[in-house]
Amino acid sequence: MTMSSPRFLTVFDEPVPPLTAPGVVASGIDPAVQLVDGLFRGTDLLGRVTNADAMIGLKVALPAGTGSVRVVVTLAMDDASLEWWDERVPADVRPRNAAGTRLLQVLSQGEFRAATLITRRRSDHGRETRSVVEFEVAASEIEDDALLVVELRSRPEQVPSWADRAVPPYGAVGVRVDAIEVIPQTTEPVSRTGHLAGGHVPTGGSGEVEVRSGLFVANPGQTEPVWSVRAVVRPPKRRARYRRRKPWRVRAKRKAKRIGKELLPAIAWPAARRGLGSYRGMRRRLAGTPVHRAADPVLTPRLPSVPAKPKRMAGSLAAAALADLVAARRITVAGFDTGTGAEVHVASAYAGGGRFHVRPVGILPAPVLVGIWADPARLSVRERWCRRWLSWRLSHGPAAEPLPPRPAMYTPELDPDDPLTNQVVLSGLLGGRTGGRIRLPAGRFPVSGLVIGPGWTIEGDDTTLVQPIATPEPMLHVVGSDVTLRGLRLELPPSSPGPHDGAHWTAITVGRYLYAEEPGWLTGVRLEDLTVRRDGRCAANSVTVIGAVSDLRVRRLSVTGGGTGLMVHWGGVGTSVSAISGPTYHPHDLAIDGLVVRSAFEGFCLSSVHDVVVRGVHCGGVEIGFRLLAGDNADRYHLLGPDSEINRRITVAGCEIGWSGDLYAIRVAGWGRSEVDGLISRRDFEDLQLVDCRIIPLPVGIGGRSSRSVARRPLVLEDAGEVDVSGISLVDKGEEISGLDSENG
Amino acid sequence: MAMIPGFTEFCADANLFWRANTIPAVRSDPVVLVEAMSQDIRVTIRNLTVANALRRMVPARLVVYTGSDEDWNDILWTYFDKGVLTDLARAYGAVDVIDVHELVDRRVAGTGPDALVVAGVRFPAELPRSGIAPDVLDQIVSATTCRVLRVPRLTPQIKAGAKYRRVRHRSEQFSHLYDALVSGLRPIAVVSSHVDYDHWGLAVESAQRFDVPVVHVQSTGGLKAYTLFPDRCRGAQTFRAELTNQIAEYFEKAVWPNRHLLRRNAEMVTWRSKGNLGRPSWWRGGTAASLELRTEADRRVVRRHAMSRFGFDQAKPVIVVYNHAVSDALNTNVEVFADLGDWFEQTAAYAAHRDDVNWLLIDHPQQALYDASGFFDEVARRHNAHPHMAFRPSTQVSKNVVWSLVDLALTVRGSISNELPAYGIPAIQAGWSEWSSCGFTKVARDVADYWHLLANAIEALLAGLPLITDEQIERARLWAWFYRSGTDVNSSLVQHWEMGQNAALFRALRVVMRNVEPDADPAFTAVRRMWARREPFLTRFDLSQPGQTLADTISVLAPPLGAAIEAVTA
Repeated sequence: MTMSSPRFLTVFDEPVPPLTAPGVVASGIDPAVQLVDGLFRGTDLLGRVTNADAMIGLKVALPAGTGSVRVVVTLAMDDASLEWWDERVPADVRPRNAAGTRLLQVLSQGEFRAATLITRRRSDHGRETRSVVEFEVAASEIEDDALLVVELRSRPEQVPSWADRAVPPYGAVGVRVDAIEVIPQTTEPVSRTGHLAGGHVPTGGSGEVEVRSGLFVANPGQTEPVWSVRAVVRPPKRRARYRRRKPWRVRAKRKAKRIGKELLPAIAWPAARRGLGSYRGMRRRLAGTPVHRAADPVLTPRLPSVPAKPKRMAGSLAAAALADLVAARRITVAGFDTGTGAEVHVASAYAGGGRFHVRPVGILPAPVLVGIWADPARLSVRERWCRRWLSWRLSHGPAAEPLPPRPAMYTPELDPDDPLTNQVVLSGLLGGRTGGRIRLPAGRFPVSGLVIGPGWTIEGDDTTLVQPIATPEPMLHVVGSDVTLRGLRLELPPSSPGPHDGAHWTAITVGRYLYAEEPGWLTGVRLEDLTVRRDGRCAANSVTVIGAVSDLRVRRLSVTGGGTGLMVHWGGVGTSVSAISGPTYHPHDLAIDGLVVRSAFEGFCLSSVHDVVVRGVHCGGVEIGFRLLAGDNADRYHLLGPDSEINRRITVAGCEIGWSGDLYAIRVAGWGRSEVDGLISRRDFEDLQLVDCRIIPLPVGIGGRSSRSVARRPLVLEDAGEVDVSGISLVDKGEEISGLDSENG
Repeated sequence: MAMIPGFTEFCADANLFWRANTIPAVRSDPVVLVEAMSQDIRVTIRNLTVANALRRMVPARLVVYTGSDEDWNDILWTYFDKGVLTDLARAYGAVDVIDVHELVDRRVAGTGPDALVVAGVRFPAELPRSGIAPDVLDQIVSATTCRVLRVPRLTPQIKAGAKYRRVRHRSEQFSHLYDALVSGLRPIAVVSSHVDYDHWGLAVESAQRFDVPVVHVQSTGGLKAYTLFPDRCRGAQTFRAELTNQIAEYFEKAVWPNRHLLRRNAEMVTWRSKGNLGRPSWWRGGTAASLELRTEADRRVVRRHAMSRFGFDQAKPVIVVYNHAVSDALNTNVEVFADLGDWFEQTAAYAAHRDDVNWLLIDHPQQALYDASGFFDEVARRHNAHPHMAFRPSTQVSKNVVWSLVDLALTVRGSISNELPAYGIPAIQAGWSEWSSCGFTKVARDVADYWHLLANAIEALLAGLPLITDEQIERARLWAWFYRSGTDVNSSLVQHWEMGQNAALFRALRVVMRNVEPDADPAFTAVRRMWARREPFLTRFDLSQPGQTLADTISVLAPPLGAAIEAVTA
């Protein structure tokens, strides 16, 4: 780096007495606090932030052999924090919400370390609301004779609109820095990841973090995080009385005191270390000694969860109303990157008992601020009234389960001729155990109607399974999570399914179309290196993924013949398609990589799903390449209704369609007609990416039917919202067809 | 202004004190013309004290001119009180107190008074036309209009507007009036707290044309004043430009040769300045204005944070551009660009295509008092697409952060160009200031030279070459000492500026006037020294003393200084 060499020292400068680690600085006039920026030094606390960003430079002396330093920063808000924000934040800064949740990013030695929140409640009036941030810095990052710098930064200027008011800009202004503790370690720094901040410490006795105002910050951890959020009813309590504004004499005195302090030059501060007492008291309190407050409902351990079903709870109308709200999942969850303000997609899944599992879609590169709320516009009057008593408790979600001991491996012997024997052998294995590994022998074996529960891996070794006669039951029906089907060739006869039979007559079905009651989600299914061959073209789907299915991966699936190669479809609670009672379930978080479909009616179809990535599709001689549909009822029966994620974030990248149909090669339709009442629902696609989709028109070949259309349209868009079709191209090798236009009907 | 307790009693004591401490004057004696047009009573106390110190040497009558107008009441004054200033002037021995604003307003309105009588001299109702050069009048009218409208420059619309016409009309009348007063009264000196704009500047302009010494008393510190004696002037284009030359000459003659003796004192001022002690009265206080960086290592770690905060490339040097209060006394000293705003805009435009360095552009902390046009924000908007440029109001950045970054500072005449070099950080000036010829900054001769200096400096920064020498650092520290100590007279007859204007000030002054024998009061000896030697400023002590005597005066006798004294006296 090129820089000039300033000369700041004079003969009158004396050495700064450093803080000897381990030690605490809890007063701004401690000489070890050599430098501040955007901070007003305090006497009984380290200081109070005056600007959007603030810095503290501590002179520290580390004992020999220090490998790293643990730095514990104690931050707080009190009543003055609000006044300071109002007084010091430039008047043109909007929104003005001094009482909002303060988002703070903590940096040290030029590097980002953690983010935290402070959310002050009215009931905190007269005491402070605290947040503690801990991180470790390698000793090598602190140059000899230099400073340990701790910087606080406010939120980015631009954040999603839902957070703009709740988490005001200039959030650091008025925040107290109570103390910084420096603890040397002999080891290399341990990265303290995954820290959760709900707006206030302590967290209570249960290990759960209280999520104030429905906002929490999660710092990145080493694994893909899952957070468990539990709804609790905070009983109505006596309103805190507002304190009247201090009389002008008191205010004037305070101001005079402040000005007086400003006049005290940095170089003249005495070495007094006052204020340690209050800091130590606070540390004691944090260390577990109960806070001496009578029956603080916020901090009492384990508040009862919202009951799963609406019922009256001991006189609490609120609980009943909120139970309905939560169980019906009319709760929205969203997040943003605390460093950039960019939206972070957060998925939530209801886990029953008033508990959600929330997780970011993808890995978490930076801390994320997550908001949980119920949109008042969609609430009943009673729910709106009771909403204030709904509160959340946060903990780390179920950790990725440790790998079970290597599952039992079964190598059953199959009969090359007798389907019944094979059925008995395989069903016996699958039915009697809770998962395992089945390795099928090489050869060709008749099999039909296997139901595969959770935890099973079925692998082939040059194995072909043949369905002797067509049956409505899927050849392989996956009904449990964490199932892998790998290296199998499945052969089926032609079949003639009726309408709404998409989950039947298939080679593989994952999930269900109709449920009698609310199902659990089926996750962790892997379909790899599978070949499905059906003699001739028919209406039956080859592989169907349907209903409450998420986190499914399909790799290298090859389909010949039949209806749709891969059908992904919504499912729901109800007795029939025309008697859906809801809720409906929509497959999501799916990755399909390598799909080859030949001589079939259709390559693939996604109906009413979200968060899907399809890559590397090759279709040859298909009447339709693929369809993206909103589903019969779109979001009408989804628990979150319009707030659901349906039709969001769908990517089709790299898709070659040898198109022999007479209608269209690709159809994107943002509407559906309900089989329940005939109503038409609409739902736009959002963040739909169609990349490198090439349509190669072939001579029409539609299985002997007569052509239904005079003009073939490669692409049909119907009420799909804004769709970028620039990634779709037409590779003209065949007959004259109409241009690549679309119709909106 | 609400009457401050103790003021009446103070006036009584002052009257007694000054009658005893000035030479009685009769009608035939000349006058001293003293300005009393600031609302701050500390300013007028300083003016009157200097005038009375002159009246200890020369029998002269005190004539005070005062008043205010709607423009200044609008933009600056909040408690201007002519009555208080008049009482004060009378207490200090004024034989006449005239309201020049009122006189001008009546003449502008065509309700001119009958003949005016000042200090026994009768002036006709129809005053003769001023002899001011038209371009000088134009310049003062423009600077005044910019100031009262709070805009960086005049547009054709403004020039066609009523405000401009009013300022021009009044300025002409001010010039007629001041010409008449100066020529009619033949004052021995004009004492003024300001030398710019219509009502202050035109009095100074008239005095200079009629070869009357002008004492420019400063509103800071103890008692600070610059003086231009007509026989010492060499025809520089403005009062301040003339002063720049004379200051430099004195600095070379009396300060630099004594650097060995003064080194420790200069070091002390430099050290105190880090904690913002001894700062000029208009500087910002508070912790954000303290410099707490000590070492290169300190600067490196804070710089990493600061660079990331502004989104700068860590590998590139940083140039900081210090915007001025854009309508402040335009063109009252040499400026290379057309105006202060022009310099800032052109520098920002240059910065936009020099992305090999980072640019931090800082607005003046008092800009709201000087600009109503949103000038800084407008320039910032023009360049907001450039990640290598950051615009910030000064109030939002601390000195620690800015100084961790700045590798080169750009200014026209800002005091930052003294401050930074004192700590080894180079500065380029696009205009003159009091210290600009003292050799510690690079001063552009013209616009082309400015770009040349800037381009060369950037090349040096990129090559890691130093842009400032040890001698320049020493000169900057010596200037800091000279400004804050050498030319600041600590007289109890004015009390330090930071005493404020309150009952305590009057009590302290009364204690002095009632209880302290006035012999050799520093105000008297300093004014006498300046007057007798025709030096351009008040000095705290005689810098021309031989080495040992000087060392005795400043009470330094540390061992290494023995050799230093010999070096000076040899």
